[in-house]
Amino acid sequence: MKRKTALRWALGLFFGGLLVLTFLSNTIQSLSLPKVAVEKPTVGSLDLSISEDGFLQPAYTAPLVPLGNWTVTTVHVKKSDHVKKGDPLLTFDTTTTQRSLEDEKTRYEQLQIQYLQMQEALKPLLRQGDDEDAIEKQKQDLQVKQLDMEIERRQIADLEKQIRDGEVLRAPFDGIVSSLSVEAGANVSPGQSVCTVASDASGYQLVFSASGDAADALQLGGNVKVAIAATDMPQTEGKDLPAFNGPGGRVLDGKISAIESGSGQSGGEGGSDAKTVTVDVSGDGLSPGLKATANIPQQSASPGFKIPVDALHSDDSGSYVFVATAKEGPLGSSYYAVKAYVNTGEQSDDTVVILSGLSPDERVVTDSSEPLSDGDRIRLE
Amino acid sequence: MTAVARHAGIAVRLALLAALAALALFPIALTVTNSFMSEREISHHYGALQSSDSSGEDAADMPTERVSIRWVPEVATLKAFGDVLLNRPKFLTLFWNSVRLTAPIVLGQTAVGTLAAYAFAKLVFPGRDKLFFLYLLTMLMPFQVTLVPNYLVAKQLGMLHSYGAIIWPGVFAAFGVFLMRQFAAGIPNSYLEAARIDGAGHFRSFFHIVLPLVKPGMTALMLLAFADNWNMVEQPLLFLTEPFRQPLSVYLAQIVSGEQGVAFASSVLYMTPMVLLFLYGEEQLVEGIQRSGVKG
Repeated sequence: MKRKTALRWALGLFFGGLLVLTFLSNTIQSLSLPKVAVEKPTVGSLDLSISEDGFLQPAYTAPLVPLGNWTVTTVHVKKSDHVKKGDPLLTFDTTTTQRSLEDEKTRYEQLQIQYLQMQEALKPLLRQGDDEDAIEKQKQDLQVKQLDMEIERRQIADLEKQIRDGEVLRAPFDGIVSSLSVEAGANVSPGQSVCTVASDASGYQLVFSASGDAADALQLGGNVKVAIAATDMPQTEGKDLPAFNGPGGRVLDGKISAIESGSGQSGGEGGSDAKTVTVDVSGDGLSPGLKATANIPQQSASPGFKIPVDALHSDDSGSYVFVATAKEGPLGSSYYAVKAYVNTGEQSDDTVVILSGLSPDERVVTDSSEPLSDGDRIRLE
Repeated sequence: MTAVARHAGIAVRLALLAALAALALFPIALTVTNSFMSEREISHHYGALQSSDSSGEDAADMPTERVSIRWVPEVATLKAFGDVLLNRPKFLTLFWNSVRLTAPIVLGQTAVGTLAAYAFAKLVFPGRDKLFFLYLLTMLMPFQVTLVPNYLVAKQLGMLHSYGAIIWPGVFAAFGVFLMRQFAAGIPNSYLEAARIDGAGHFRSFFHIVLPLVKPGMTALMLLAFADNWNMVEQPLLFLTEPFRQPLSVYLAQIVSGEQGVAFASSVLYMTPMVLLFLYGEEQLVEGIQRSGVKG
């Protein structure tokens, strides 16, 4: 009887256990198997197009400095004003320099008087004619005084030139006032940049950084479409600006004029292989600081299977992806993650080209709920 | 014949029987022990089987490489069982499909068999024995012969692709009637006559006299019907087209196709209810078969 009871229990437990597992099977499976997202690779060339934002910079800007320790009396222009060559930008109060000039002039007069006195003193010595040494010394003194006077004359000329040239700061060429760092009443000193003027003739540049294979594919002299948004126009009168093409802005032609390895520069978003690309932009009515977007359409040279960058892993043996392979069984298909080593081609921010190692029907694991290793059983999303 | 010779003869016969029993038990024991092997060990030992299978060649192309049979796993693990029970919801689905097919057949066949047995054994009506013989005829025919008529009937009744197409023929299978009739025939007529004199009708006679007396027979029938229907393969293949409605026995029939570890474990799980039920009703089964055999 004991045996029967035990068997009854065993039967009950067996069926009961299976019943419980049946109800919980989906939950259990979701707990025990990593869930993965798969994607079939698409065939084609990688789109390495670049679309980077930047601000238009004049190709050449001249920083303008005052010639003396002066005070600004008048500011003739505002920032972003168009100026012609020779237009006054700032007027300075040159009183301090004028005072120095007068001092120098007075000193020159003093030297002149001293010189005349020494000439007078030389005359009796020459007349007596016996004290050679004294005559010689007096002559040398005279010469020194003469040199002093020359120095003084040059200083006076300098100061006069300073006042003549520096009293009014003028635009060195046609262009736009790209910065203005003083206002009336400000004290300035020589060498301090008070104003910069961007040259019209030099054109504009757009500088941005690019990285990766997209940057490698860039070529000097390549054509670039530079789009400028209308809303980004600075708040100026803009009376002579040409009308924008289209509703949103206008597109200008540009050419890549320089590609520099930007590894030395800090702050490059692409890290060590970031490159600084300079695009020359030509067009009328541009002004510094306009926000522009450079669009460079280009494609990778070698077509292949495109997969998301996240799907690509690497170990000591090279780059690999996980491929979801199905094993058909009477209990339905079960899926396994299998390592497939691949040769990679060019790569953009989110996509990488696989040159070999994959076939078009294979499902590449793009995302998984937990780290995978070769041969893991997985659950497809 | 001397006593020594007689003993020797018994020993030889015993040894022969033991050897045959071992041969019969061999696949079952192998299945049980191998179900505790890890997948790696199984593919190591039976890799030849797998590779010949995956090449997609004919089943007749047996692997040329010799497969070494391993009795004891190097490392015993329940991983295969865990895999089957936790990660393969389809196994459980198929298991319950089997239960849903087998349970109604077993219960129905027992009920029909017992009632019919009472009629065939204890009621007197014209053409009774001819009718019983006709009924037996269906049992004597190989099962496969009736498959096609069964299919046509099921189609006419609109039961194709449903469990009814399998359950109803199972419920009215002749074997249950035959077994129970043999059993009921063993009940002395005097019992029923005495009951009738006391005023009992057919219902009372059946439920209070026949039924308690044929209980061992019912148990035997239940076990035999369970074993028979738990293992059915042809009917589901013919009548059920959707894979997820098939019973477990169909899956186990395809077990060769890869995943031996899972196959071993699911075989063991598949055998378990049958073994437990047999052990549970062992005495009644033996008694039932003996009595029906002796009396019949």
